[in-house]
Order: sequence, then C-alpha cells, then structure tokens
Amino acid sequence: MKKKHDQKMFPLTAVVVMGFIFVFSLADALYPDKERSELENRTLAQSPTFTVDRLVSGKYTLDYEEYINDQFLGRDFWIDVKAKSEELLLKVENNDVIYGKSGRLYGKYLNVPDAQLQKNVDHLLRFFSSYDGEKTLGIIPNAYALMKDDLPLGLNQVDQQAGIQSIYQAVEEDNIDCTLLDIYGTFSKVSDPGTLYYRTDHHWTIDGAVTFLEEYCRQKGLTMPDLSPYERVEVQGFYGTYFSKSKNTSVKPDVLSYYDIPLSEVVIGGEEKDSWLDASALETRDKYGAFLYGNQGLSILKAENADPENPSRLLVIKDSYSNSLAPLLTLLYDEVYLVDLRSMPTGFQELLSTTQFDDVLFLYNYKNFASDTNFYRLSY
Amino acid sequence: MVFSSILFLFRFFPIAFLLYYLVPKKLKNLTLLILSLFFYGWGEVRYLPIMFASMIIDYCCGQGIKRLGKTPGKKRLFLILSVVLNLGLLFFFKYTNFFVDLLNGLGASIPELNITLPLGISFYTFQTMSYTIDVYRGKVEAEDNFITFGAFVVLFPQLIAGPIVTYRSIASELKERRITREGLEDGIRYLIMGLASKVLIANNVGALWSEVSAFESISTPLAWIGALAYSLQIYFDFSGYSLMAIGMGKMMGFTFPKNFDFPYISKSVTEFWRRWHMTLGSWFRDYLYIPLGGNRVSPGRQYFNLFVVWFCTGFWHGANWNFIIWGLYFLVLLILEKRFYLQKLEQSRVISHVYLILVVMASWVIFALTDFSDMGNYFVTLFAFRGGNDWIYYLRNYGVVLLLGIFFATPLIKIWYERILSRHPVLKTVLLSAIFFVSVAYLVDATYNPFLYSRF
Repeated sequence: MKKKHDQKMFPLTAVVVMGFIFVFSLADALYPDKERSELENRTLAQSPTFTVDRLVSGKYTLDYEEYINDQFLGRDFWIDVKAKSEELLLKVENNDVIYGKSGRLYGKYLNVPDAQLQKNVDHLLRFFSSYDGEKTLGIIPNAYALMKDDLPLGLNQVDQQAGIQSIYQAVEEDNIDCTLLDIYGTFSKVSDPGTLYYRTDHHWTIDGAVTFLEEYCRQKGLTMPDLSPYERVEVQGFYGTYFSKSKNTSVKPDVLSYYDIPLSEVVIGGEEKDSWLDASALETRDKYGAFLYGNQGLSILKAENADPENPSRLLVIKDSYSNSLAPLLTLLYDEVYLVDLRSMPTGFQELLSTTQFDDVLFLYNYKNFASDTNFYRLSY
Repeated sequence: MVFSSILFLFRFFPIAFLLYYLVPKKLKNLTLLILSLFFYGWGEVRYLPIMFASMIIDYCCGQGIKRLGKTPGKKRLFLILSVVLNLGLLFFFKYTNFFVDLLNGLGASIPELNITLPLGISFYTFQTMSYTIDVYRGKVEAEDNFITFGAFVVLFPQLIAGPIVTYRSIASELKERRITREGLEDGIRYLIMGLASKVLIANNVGALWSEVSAFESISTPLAWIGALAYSLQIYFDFSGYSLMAIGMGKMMGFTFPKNFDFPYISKSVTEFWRRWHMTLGSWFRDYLYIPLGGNRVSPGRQYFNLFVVWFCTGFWHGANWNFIIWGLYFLVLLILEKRFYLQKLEQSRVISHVYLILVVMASWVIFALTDFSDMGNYFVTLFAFRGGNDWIYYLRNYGVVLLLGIFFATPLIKIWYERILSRHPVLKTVLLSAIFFVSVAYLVDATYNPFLYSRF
C-alpha cells in the first residue's frame, strides 16, 4: 500500500522549487555585473580579487558574499517584493525609513551615538577657541523634529531641539564668541515646515535654505538679498535618499528647485567648472547630487560682481545641506569657500592661515554632526 | 556559510545537490565530505585544521576502542582521550576568556586571548563525542572507513546549528540510504518552512527586540512586547535552522531527529524541555545525566546530578554568567514542579499555559541580556509599571508579524497542513513556492539577518 503510494506521488514542490533554484542560479551567474544601482543610489559590490591572505583573514569570503548579494539577478525586483510585503504586514517603516501619516518619509533616529557626539563637540570647541575671527554655528534639525504630528504615534525619535540646545550650551559655557543660529526656532515658526524639506529625501528644499538665509542675515545684521531677479528652476521626478532606502512605491516624487544664480568662477575639488550645478546628475534619480557635484573637499564659488581688489569671504564648514545653499551665499559674500571634511583629509589649517575670512560658518545637520567621524581633520 | 543567505541558496545549494545527485552511490559520501569541508571552510579557513583534528581524534579513538576492546583499561584510555580532547577544544576556544576574566576578577592579570569561536564547535564536538562514547559502550560499531566517518563529522546540513545528530542515529544511513520522492518532497517543504521561519518571522521580530533592548528606558507594555518578540525570534531562528537541516538531510536520504516540537504550547517547564532543543536535552541525558547515576541514586545525589546537567546546559549556550543563571533558573523550576505542582499544572487548562509562557519569556530575558545591570533594569521595567506610549508604535508596526509568529508557534499550522494542504498538492506547491519567493526577497534586501549561534 505504502509502496504504491510512493510510486504514484510526484514531488511537485521539489521539482518546481529546485528547478527554479537551478535555473535562476545559472542565469544569475551568467548575467553580466552592474556598476551601480540607480534605485538604491549606490555603487554595487564587484567581484573581489582573490589572494591567499584575504582568504585566510576571512575578508575574501565576506566580500564575495556581498558581491553575490549585490549582483543578484533582478535585485530591484526583489527589493520591491520585500517593500510590498512589509506594507502587507501593515508596517509603517522599511529599512529604517518611517512612513509619515501624510505620505512623507522620515529617517528613523532612535539613539544618538553619544560618544561620537561628545568627541565632535570637543573638536568643535577646540577649533572655535583656537580661531580668533568671526564665527557662526548652525545646527539644522531633521524634518521629523518639526513634523512631530506627522510621525506614527508612539515613535520616540531623538529630541533634536534639546540636542541642538545642548551643543549650543557647550559653546556658550566655553565663553566662545560665536553667533548661534536658531534654525530650529526659525523653521518651527514657518506655517508649513513641510515645505522646508523634501518628502523623499533627508535634505532641505531650496525654501529651507532660503529660510535659513533669512535667519543668518537677521542675526549677522546683513540685508537679505532679493531673489526675485533670479529664475527659480524646477526639476520634476526627484526620488531622494529616503526613497532609495525604503523603496516605498506609493510615495510621490519631489520637485527639486534651485535659483539660477550666475557666478563668475567655480572651483570644485581643485577643478574649474562652468557651473556650480552638475547638469548630468539632474538626469539621474539622485538629483540632489547635482549641487556642487556632490560632496567634494574644497569648493570655491565667486560671485558674479565680486570685488577683485578686496573681496569679502565666507568659509563654510559643512555637510551636504550646504550644497544647495552655497550659491545663495554668494549674494552676501564675494567669495564663498566650502569645506567638506569628509573629502578633505588635510589642508584645512593651511587654508585657514593663508586666507582671510569675514566669517566662518559651521553648518551641519544634527544627525550628521552627531555621527561624523572626520572632525579631527579641523586640526590638520 | 549560513543557510539563510543568497550565497548558500543560489550557489552552494544547487552545486552541492547537483553533484550529490549525479555522482554514483559509491562516491556520495566522499562528495558529501568534500562539499561539507568547503561549506565549513568558507567562513573560517583557519579553523579547517581543527575540523580535521576532530575527525582524526575520534576516528582513531573509535578504532582504538574497537581493536583493543578486550583490555578494558586501554579501551577506557581511548574514551578518556577522546572526551578530553573534544572538551579541550571546546574549552579552549569557547571558555578560555571566560576563565581569564574570572581569574582577573580575583586579582590575576592575564591578558585575554584573541580567539574567535570556530563555527559550530559546540555542536560538532558533542556529535563526535557521542560516537566514541557509543563505540565504547558497544552500542554502535566503530566506523572503519575514514571518508564515511569524516562525512558524519562535518555533514554540512547539521554542522553549525543542530540538530545534534548522534552517530548512532544515522550510522546505518551513512552506509546505505535512499533518496525517495517523498524524502525530496518533504525535504524541500522543511527547507522552505525553515527558511521562512528564520527570514520572515525571526529576523522580523528580532529587529523589534534589537531596537527595544537598545533603548535606555521603555514602558512596561513595550518591555513585554520586546520579551515576546525575543521569545519568538529565538524559537523561529533556532527551529528554522533545524528544519532546514532536517529538510536537506531528507533530500539526501538522511533522517535527522526532530529538534523542536511546538515548545510554547507546553503546560510546564518539564514538558517545555521535552519539546525544546530536543537533541540537546537527550544528549545531556544520555551522555551526562545517566552516566552520573541519573535518578537511580539518593535524592541528594540526584539533585547534584541535576545541578551538573543544568549548569552545563546553561554554560553550553555561551561563556557568560547569564547563561549559567539561565540554566540554573530552569533547574529550580524543574525541581519545584517535580516536588510541588507538576500534577496540578498538567490538570489545568489555562493557568498552566499562562505560567509556562511567562516563565519562559522571563528566561529569555536572562538569556538575551549578558550585562547584569541591563538585565536588572529590564526586569524592573517588566514588573514595576512604567507608563509611556512607545508601545503603540511597536504594536502597530509589528502587530501582524507577532500574531503570525504566535500562530505558527502552535500546532494549528500542522493541523491546517495535514487537513488541507497535504491533500492538494498543487495548492501546496503554489503556497510553498510563494513563501520561498518572498523569503528570497527578504534575503536580497536584508537589513537585519543575524547569526545567533556565533557564540554557541
């Protein structure tokens, strides 16, 4: 009886699933590798080179595993399947991106890396107390800090208002002569703070940058420049970093805007450029990368009608938030120097000693400020 | 290499099984040996020599016992040699730093050794020891063929995370086994369900636990949700691995023992340990508790024996005090149950389940938190009410997954399968394929895919 049953039975699942594994593995192995993922906005791992040393240390096999994962056939499709399944499970997040009630995306931020933050505050204080000139500090909150009602109930994100306050307090307690920009306060007074940030990206919009500029002018006693002469360019179909991480397919794309401000000279990462805008990047998914060609070490922007004899100069020590702000700053200063410590291992002190600045603006997003590991480069 | 990875499923698995099915019967064990060595060496090439050492030691000890069987003294010598060398390997790699810390705490200043735990050492040392002990006891014949024996020691499906397969239980299959259609069909089902247990449930609820346990302060409801999440994570992670192992075993013609039998539906801790990690429990019973005299001794001695077994059970799970406490916590409960209320529990229909779940959830908190002040704080939060709305988010975000986990932890799933799916092969294939498909998607875009046994 048993035997008869065994003969009749066809192992359908085994044939289907193993057939799929065999065929798909073969296809995956034969399919050519890709350089980067447009959807995820990152370069993909490539086939690692084999050496006995790397094998013994375990590095080769680790890299190989990452390579197989990154180059897996139909990666974008699988990622989409996972994002959809998470939605079916009624989840309101995927890959550390939170879905706001209004459909906006936010970064999940539950714990501050306290040790790194403390180190960074120390580096900042050391730099500020060693530099005698005019100084300004601005810490930019993330969108969620201003959009608390849009977050799912009960999600206890890091309190950025208090976090920023404690950094400012450390500066005050050190008796450092420095202008502290209340960006959080200024942004929270805007009737719809949502307009200051992208829905699918962690950066501020051009309106966020302009609102910042108003606060900067107010506190520095400068006149807010008139932006009406400049064309406001709008680029449709911007899917930002939060989208790339969460792959939330139901989110609507952002519109990326900027003011077309003419400049007389642009030097980015030591190379002279025609424009501060990398037009080719506007064609890709990560359109924010067009501003200042991404995060280059040192960028110098010169205003259109800069005073050649005695130019006013601003130094901005910054993260990527300032990339969209930079051209606006040329309306206040003849020359704007922007330093991104992530891409500038040395040369900061030399720049400081060879160039005279009217103001040094230290401008970071709170989350970046707390986690950056390159602040020690302020001393090199 | 771990089973729950793209590399395993779409590189190692197809190549291994294709080779295994294609080679003639005579070469199957050799193929299995080579494949398993590659599988093991992939993660830790440096530790391949330990694997070879383990094979050679137990092969020689087995042969020694067999050939010198007539002189009890020499026979015993080989047994002791095998046990000492196996436990020596385990102790050196797993427990050296624990004892260094202990001595340093007492005033010594010995530098810590920089050793990483060889993958699966806790499992394969126990497996190979079972061989020598059983040969010594005359329960099984020593294996003459080194390839067959080697294939047993390093057999990749059960190598790194159980079940603990004794040589005795698969000795005949090592020599003669058949790949049947039923074995294939059941095997792939076990493999898929195991993979899904790990990837879809354990990783999902594990992410909840890893977030919750990292918070400095949480509300009491969230602490309970966290403990529930970890209870589900460790069950589905562990039983998922065992299922995958059993499934792949079936697909090769092996019958590995069951390792988990719906432990969370138990009515008492006594029953729980008959359903949880069954192969470890029976290993300790057969190779430690009974040799110590088991329960055929004076009550005092029996308590001592139980103490040794549960101390070792705890310590086996990790070289840390919390694991020892975890083991002894169960010892206390088992003794209490035995002396006072086991019968009442077995008669009760509701309270016994509530009791078991609470007691086991608390045990997982001890298990999960190696730092005593973290553990203390967590227990305070569990039992001294602290308000807050943080639980709303986690319940909302993970509610469906938690419910699915609870459902799949009960035999309802088994009943459902037997009543409906097993009678509709096409529906079964469609469902299992879909589950496999979604599991692959979660592996491709894996944010949280830990390997919990790296410290086992």
